[in-house]
Amino acid sequence: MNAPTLAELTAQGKSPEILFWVGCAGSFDDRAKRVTKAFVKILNAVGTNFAVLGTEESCTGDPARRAGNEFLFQMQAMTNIQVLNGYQVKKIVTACPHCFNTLKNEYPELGGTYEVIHHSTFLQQLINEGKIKLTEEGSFKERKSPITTRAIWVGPIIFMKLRVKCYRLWMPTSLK
Amino acid sequence: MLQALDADLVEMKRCRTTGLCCGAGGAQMFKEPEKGNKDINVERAEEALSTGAKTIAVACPFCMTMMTDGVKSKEKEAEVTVKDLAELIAESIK
Repeated sequence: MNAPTLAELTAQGKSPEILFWVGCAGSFDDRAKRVTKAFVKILNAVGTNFAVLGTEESCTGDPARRAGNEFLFQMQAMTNIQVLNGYQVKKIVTACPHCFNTLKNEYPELGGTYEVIHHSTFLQQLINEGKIKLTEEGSFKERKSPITTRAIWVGPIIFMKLRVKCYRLWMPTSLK
Repeated sequence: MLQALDADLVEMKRCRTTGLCCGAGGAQMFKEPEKGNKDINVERAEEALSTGAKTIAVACPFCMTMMTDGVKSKEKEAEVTVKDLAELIAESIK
C-alpha cells in the first residue's frame, strides 16, 4: 500500500493532483482505519496521483465549532489553512462528511478555498469514468438470494441538515 | 454506486429529507444520552434491521460507530455487517 505524504512529494519536486484528507476517525479509530486502507487501495488501483498530509494534518476544528468553541475552531482552521496554502493544495477528497463540510463550507471565509469532494462522489466519478472495474466476486454478486444480497443506504444526515439547522443554531450571533 | 455492485438496494422508511440521524450528529457518541426511553442509534439500527438487509452501507465514520453499536445492542452482528462504501468497492475491485 502506497500513501506518500505531501512533504515527501514536494521534496521530490512533484505535486499530486489530489489530497486525501484522512480525518481523526480515519487516523485513530480502528474500524475507520480499515476504511482508510480500503480507500487507499482503490486510489492505488486506479493510479490516482494523490498524497496525504500525515503528521501535518490536524483536526479541522469542526467538533470545537459545533460545541460552540469558536476560538479553538479558528485556531485549528488557520493552522490547517496555512499548511494547505503552503503546499498550494487545489483539490481535496475526504472519507468523512464532517471534514467535508468544514473544509468546503467554512474554510473559504478564513482564506482557504479548495475544491472539496466526498469519497462517495469521488468513487461514483471513478465508476462513471470506467476507471473502477468491478469483479464478479464482490460481496453481493456471490450471494444470489434476494434477501441475502440486500443492502441499505444510511446517508449521513449531515449532508442534508447540518448547513440548515445546526449552523444557525450553534453559530455565534455575530457570524450568522 | 451500490447499484454498480449489483446490490439489491433498499431504503429505510425514514430516508432522504425525512431521514433520521444515527445520533452522532447530536453528540450522542461523545456523551451520555438525554432523558428518554431509547438510544437514537438503537432506534435507527432497529429500523435498519427491519428491512431484512444483510449489509448496512454507510459513508461516515461516525455513522459507522453508531450503527455498529446499534446492531450489537440487538445482538445481530453475526448476521448483519456495517460497511463503508469504500470497503464495498475495494472488495470487488479488479
